[in-house]
Amino acid sequence: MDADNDAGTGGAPLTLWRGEQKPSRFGYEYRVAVLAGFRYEAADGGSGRTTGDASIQSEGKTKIEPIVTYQVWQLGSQRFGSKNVELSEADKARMDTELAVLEVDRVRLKIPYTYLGVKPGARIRVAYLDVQQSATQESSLSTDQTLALK
Amino acid sequence: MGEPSKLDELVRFAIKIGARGLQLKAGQEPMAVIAPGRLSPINHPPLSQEAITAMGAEAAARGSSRYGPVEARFTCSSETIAVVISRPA
Repeated sequence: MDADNDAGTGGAPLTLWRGEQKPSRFGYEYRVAVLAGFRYEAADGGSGRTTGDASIQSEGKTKIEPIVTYQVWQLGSQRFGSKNVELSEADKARMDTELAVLEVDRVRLKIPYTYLGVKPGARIRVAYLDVQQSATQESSLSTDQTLALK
Repeated sequence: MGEPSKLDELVRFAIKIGARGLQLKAGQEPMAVIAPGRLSPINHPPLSQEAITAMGAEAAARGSSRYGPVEARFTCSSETIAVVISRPA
């Protein structure tokens, strides 16, 4: 997400491979990582959750539910210099029920403006990347879209 | 819920390290494709030709319903950006 809609500012450029070429996209300030995972209950009475996993061992678990969550990262000037934006305790508590909801055939997210440093009336630029798809094919970073925040 | 398959296991690892794909050759250690021409070993025993063929058949059977691209739609409300992620019809 380019929070100020200015390609001249932001973190390290996104460098993508397309065949033998290596084009870059500039000006994004934040990355929102949407992660699959599971919430489970164990046979010994415990419970837990995993994040960033596409599968889970079922042995020893009495209940397993797929979930999604997201993390917000502020991009740094270096490719690996991103900084995690800490969500409030209230937002962590409503992550599963309001902010990141997994439905039968889709995922619905709500990302509060405050984590992106933007306010109503601002215009931001967004693009998205299907990481799983990119693991098996060429990069699939979408074209940019501009959003006018209400 | 079943146990993860060999294909799941390798794809999961490739995703975790940010690889763009897998290179599988019978009798050789599977390699993660970091970028065109750049391979990295993934510390997995060599696979037989039969195992590779079975994984290929599994991937083909899953088709785009599991590994196809997704699309994201963005809308704005008063204080939040709403995103709906789904697969194109």
